[in-house]
Amino acid sequence: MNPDPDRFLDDPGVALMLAFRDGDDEAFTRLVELYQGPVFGMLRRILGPRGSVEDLAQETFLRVWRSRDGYRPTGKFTTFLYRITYNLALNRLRDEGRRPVRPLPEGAEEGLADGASPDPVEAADRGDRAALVRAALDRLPRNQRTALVLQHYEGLDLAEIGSLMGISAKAVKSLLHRARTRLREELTDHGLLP
Amino acid sequence: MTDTSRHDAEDRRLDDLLDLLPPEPVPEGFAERLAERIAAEEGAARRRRRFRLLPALVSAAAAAVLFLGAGYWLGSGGALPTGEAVAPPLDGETASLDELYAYRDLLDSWELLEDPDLEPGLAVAASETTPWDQAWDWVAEDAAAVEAEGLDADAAGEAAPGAGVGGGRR
Repeated sequence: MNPDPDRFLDDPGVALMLAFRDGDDEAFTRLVELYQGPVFGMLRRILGPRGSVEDLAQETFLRVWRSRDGYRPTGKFTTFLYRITYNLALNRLRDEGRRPVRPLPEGAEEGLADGASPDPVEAADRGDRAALVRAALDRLPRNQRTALVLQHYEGLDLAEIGSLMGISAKAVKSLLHRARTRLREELTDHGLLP
Repeated sequence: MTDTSRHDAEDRRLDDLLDLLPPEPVPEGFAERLAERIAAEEGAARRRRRFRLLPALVSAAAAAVLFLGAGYWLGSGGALPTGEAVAPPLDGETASLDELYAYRDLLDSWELLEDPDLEPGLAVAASETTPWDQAWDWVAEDAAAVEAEGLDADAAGEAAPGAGVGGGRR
């Protein structure tokens, strides 16, 4: 049985997508503005630092655009959007046949670019720690990393992650447990955790 | 501290570390490049739709030409074949005068009967004022005269001395 579409009308993404489906092209522009950051973040965290993710982000929104006529809200818009994003990321990983292991990046620019701390010493320290966390995250097996990214950064629950990855909620819980354990061990080795 | 609370505390510390990762910056001009790509795809889709209609348009144009052509032909006095019986081809050697008369329209169209150099008997036969029997007699007479001329010529040839090697009557 299909879920009641009205249930999801409070979701801003669903409302914009329905407006877009009904001919409001401006709604699609709003969708891109609203979700481009999460899409880039998810792609980068799943794929790691190498290579451009812009082409995949473009492809993600292109697929959203193509699905306009047939769109029916059966869940949160992010579930729909992240499924597209995840599948594209997975295809990229399969195509490249690469493991997500990478060397620690020089300079830890990501942390420095954050600008949350005005103290350069603290910012450098923060950047170093962020780089270590990112490297540890990138070294996780693909499924564990994806589950952790979807849970921690995208805020999806076990059922949503399971639906997106095509596995059960129980399997997701197991993946998350192993991911956290492994990450904790690695960050402990780097002195970031006691 | 219990195991559970210690575990929760470790999880919180791990979450704090994960939060150190900054949001992924969106490249400048991303939305514009996306809009260009969508516009390009939309244009390509429009072209595909146009070409998909081409065979149908060609068929429709061909049908229209046929329809207009048939309409023009019928309007200008043309008629569709009715299946009416058509006279069989005429054998010039064995045809009777009645048969020749049946074909008079055809002969008229060839202007054969208008030509004074042609068989005068047929010309007379075409005349509505001359009885057919008489015309046929004339044709027969003409034919007999031609035949007689031929016989006379043969006889003259036979009578001539030295005419043909061993061909003469002895």
